[in-house]
Amino acid sequence: MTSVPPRLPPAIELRRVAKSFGTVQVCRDVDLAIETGEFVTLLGPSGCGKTTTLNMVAGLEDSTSGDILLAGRRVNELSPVERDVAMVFQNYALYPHMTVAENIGFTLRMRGMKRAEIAARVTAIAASLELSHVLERLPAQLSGGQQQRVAIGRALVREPRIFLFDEPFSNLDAALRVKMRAEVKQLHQRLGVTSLFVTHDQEEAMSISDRIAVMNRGRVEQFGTPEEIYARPATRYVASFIGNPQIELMPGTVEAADGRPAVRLGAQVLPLPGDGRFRPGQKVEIGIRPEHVRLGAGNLSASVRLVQPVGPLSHVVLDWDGGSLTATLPGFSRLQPGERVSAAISPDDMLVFDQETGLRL
Amino acid sequence: MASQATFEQRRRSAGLFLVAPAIVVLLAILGYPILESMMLALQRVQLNAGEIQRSFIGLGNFQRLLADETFRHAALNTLYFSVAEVVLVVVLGFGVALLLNHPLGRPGFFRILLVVPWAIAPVANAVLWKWILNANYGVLNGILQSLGLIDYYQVWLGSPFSALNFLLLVDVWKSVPFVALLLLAGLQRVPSILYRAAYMDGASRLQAFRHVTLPSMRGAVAIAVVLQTIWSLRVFDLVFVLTRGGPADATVLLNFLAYRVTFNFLDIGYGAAIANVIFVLTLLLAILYIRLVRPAEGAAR
Repeated sequence: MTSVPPRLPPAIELRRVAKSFGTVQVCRDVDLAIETGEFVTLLGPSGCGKTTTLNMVAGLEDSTSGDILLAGRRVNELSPVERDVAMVFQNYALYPHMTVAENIGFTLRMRGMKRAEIAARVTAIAASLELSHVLERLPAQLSGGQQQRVAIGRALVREPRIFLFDEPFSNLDAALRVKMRAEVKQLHQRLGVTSLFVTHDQEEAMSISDRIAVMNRGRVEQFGTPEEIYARPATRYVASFIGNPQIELMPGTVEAADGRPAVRLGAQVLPLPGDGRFRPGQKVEIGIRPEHVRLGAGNLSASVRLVQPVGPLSHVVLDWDGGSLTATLPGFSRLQPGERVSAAISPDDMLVFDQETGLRL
Repeated sequence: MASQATFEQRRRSAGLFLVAPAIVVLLAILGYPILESMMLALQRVQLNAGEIQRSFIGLGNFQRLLADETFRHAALNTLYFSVAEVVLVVVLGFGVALLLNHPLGRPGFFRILLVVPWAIAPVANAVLWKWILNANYGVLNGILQSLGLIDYYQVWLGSPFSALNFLLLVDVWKSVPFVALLLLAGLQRVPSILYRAAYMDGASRLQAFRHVTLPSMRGAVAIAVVLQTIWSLRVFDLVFVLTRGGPADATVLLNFLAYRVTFNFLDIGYGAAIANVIFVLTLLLAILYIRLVRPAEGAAR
């Protein structure tokens, strides 16, 4: 017999975790398994239950039912310290009357660590976060980015098993948000601590995560890598939530044209991949991402409504008899409003959803 | 000449026009009496066969204060009364505020109940307590005797030490509600996310109170202390109704002394001097109060 190395239990595992406040169900049967060292994002609109889920992992809120396991151990009744998790809050939640050094060292002080050791660890953390020169300042005397780094330092100093981030960048301006995003990702690459991150910003989630759990109305709609989520969304909801500009969704009916499946959108008929997934008469919704619309050749005739250059790309909104369609073109487009163009969409690029269930076919 | 004022000028003169009545009234009912009482304090005022005779004696009245045994006694009484009251009221008020801030204490009913002692007219409050403390048929004696704590009815206001402390008790009872509400407002301004952060940082309830609540309450407590000191200094109604300063001048506070000297002894100049001492003390505290309130408003983002 060959010995198989025992598989490590997931760092974070949620088993049918539900949470209700009175009659309002915020989380319904959330199942998640996050491996050690992974960076996972809970993504969804406000009210989808992502922060509640995070708080339940943190130990700030109790689950109504289900099990929360950290490294294979059920922790539902344990405190955050016993769970060995640290959290970065949305509004930093720095103690306003404590200096930066006191803020970072507070948790160690609560553990009864010796002053000298606290000072040493705070100094080291501050150096790694470029906070050494502001250690004696109060939070109110810091810039937004510095406050954010103090909040991260306060979580780091405990050397926890798991990091939790609750929309940590939502108070920063756009440029700083992108910068902090990169800093957190590098930090994760350096330390490799399992991280659970909450955001409503799909671009943030895509750029920072190993895997993303897209949440909707208290459920996880899809859990996968950013690429899976983007290229192979499990549901119509995921497809429309991810991607900028948004995916274009158009209702249609599957037909058979010359023995091959096709979809009728208004007066136009677009071919579908002929792999037997579709049956004639089926009510579907077609999702087309802007970068998959090729202009210049093809059988889709449209007119240009609007051209929006954003620098490296131009978003061109087209009108055709099936509705409107956005195409993304490289560089600055020379197209003029009202111009007639022809467009082509490869059957393999079309995302086809069942109209009733919203699931991808 | 430009006949039309700029909008800015017009706005300024309109503002002046609108506050003018208030300023006139304030000067008449506050400014004039203050000045008049200061003038009185510098004079020897005598009532002689229905005639008022005034003579200017400079700081003579104030020199008299320094040597006056009764004044020193009243000042010490006031010092004890004020210090004890501030400590008791702030500590008790803080405790009540914490209870009211607890989820179980949130219902408005408790807050309404709390305000009752404060809402009763001061003299009515004093009269109420006069009955409660009555030596022959007071309810306090009745309760304590039925509990077996005392054998026979006590004259609570009869001995110097007991009388002063009962005055203190009554005023504390009346003062706790407002300070509790003031501190409750302070407690509610502490962002709840800080408690979550402290919990995540492993702080116990007590540690969270010590390191999050207390430092955040520094401003509110300072304001409560200053306001309560001002209110303790001006206590008069209780003394007037309950003890009239007795027994043996044990409950003579500065305000009551000023009243007695002025209206009972008709030593108007000297009474005004005592009143001015209280006025200056209160003024200093009021300035301190305004300073405390100002940065607190600036820091509230």
